[in-house]
Amino acid sequence: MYVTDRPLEIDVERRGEAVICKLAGSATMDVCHLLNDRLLVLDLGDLEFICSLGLGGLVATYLYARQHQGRVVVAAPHPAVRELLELTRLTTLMPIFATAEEALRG
Amino acid sequence: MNVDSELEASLNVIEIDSTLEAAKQPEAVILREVDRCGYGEDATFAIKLALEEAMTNAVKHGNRQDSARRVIVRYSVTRERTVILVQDQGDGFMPADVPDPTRPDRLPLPTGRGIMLMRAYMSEVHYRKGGTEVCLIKRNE
Repeated sequence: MYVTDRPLEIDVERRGEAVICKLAGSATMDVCHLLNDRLLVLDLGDLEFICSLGLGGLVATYLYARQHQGRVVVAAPHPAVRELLELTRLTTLMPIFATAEEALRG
Repeated sequence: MNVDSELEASLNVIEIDSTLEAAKQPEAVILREVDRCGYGEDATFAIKLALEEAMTNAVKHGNRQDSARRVIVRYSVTRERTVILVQDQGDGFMPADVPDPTRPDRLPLPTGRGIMLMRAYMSEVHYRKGGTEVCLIKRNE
């Protein structure tokens, strides 16, 4: 291994029931805060349907994040999914943003 | 509107094992009929959602995924309305005892939203037979 100035990259990949978090580049002192993620953006832009079990999964994710001092937000839900989130008032736990980029800007 | 005995006698019947995988079978059949009868996107979404909730409740809460117990689905789909009866072989429950999942103390719980969603999306929801059967009605408006 040799040292480069390649910036830190973090990719998340789903494999079955596991998530692989791939780190690349250099985890240097100036960017290590990126490893302490405190915001999880759930991009629902391609989600066409969700039932109460699915909503429960989102709540479980929220609870896990809260337990670790993190927060969860939702981005770009379809109108029907958005209506479900609003009806169940889960938007009070997980605010909705129009896009993932907007969610990152907070 | 409720289900009269004449309609009840004419309903189609599907009986399934108490697994979530098997619970998808009546959904596919009923949604094909819903599509054939020209229901719109919103009504189709509502029927799919309510049926998922009813089947989940029957399999998980009613029959407790006991392989010895069955779920019986009876249905009728016409251009005017869809009627679905989902019956489990569990002990039943009192729907009035189910707390409001939007209460602040219930919000952070992963479960307990199914009945609320069925009521919000269907034209009518009735519990029968001591809570072992739910009757879902959606008018095609």
